[in-house]
Amino acid sequence: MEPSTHTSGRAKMIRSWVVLYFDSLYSWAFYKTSSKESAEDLVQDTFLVALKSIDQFEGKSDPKSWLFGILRHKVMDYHRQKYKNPGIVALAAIEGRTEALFGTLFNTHEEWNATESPQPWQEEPAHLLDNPDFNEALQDCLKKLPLNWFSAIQLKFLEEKKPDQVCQELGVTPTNYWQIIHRAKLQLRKCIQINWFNG
Amino acid sequence: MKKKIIHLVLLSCVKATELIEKKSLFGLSWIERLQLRLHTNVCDGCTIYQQQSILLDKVLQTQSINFDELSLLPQVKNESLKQSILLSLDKASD
Repeated sequence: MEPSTHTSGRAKMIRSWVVLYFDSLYSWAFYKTSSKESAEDLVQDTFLVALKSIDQFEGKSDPKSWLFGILRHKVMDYHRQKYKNPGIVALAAIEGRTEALFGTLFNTHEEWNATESPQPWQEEPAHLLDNPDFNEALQDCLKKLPLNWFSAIQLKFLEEKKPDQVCQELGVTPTNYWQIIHRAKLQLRKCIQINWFNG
Repeated sequence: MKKKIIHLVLLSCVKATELIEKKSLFGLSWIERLQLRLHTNVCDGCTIYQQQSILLDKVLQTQSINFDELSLLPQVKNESLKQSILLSLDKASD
């Protein structure tokens, strides 16, 4: 086979995958990063990597999972960067957000303020899991988190490795990691309570 | 002062919710498990927090791992990027 025909065959194959899977890949990247620009970069990179390494594909899995595997690693890298280097301006803002959050939720004895204490959600958990509106409300609340809290949450669920190993690779202590997750979850739960249950 | 002594045994709500999140990542020591249980036994707010935190984790987990589950969310389109990738692949296969 001529090298040029080979290249052209590969490009055609990728082309058919763009037609079939672009929308779901892009959509997923958009929800996982909450950023149009980042989602664009990551999906573009994914098809570029796919084109370069299609020889490793060999039809072992279905193309959709293969492409999602590439994208997923790209999204993880993105969040590792955001988590490690939030930037000085962002850090200062996060400092303020943390103080405000704890100041609102808890009194000076570190107990729930009466108006902030979690209230039961009047719906079966199983129903909420499958409810598109609830999923959307959660996405909206994720979007409102400070960037490196958002990244900490995303990493918790994207990583297949044990959290200890994740921390080691990030060069942060486990305490640092779960404290950020703690803040993010407090904020997220409060946001859901307000947006979804009008509590 | 009295509160401080109580919190040594029963934990504050800040500390209890911290342990709830720590538990889902790294697990807890037996003493931490005991402290958390003693706290949630007497604190409705933290008991509800724990249930809701676990539920949120489940939703987030599903959204991250299972791509098809994202059909629960409206699909976001980006036709111009799609077309531009297709165009560059057409050029590559010429």
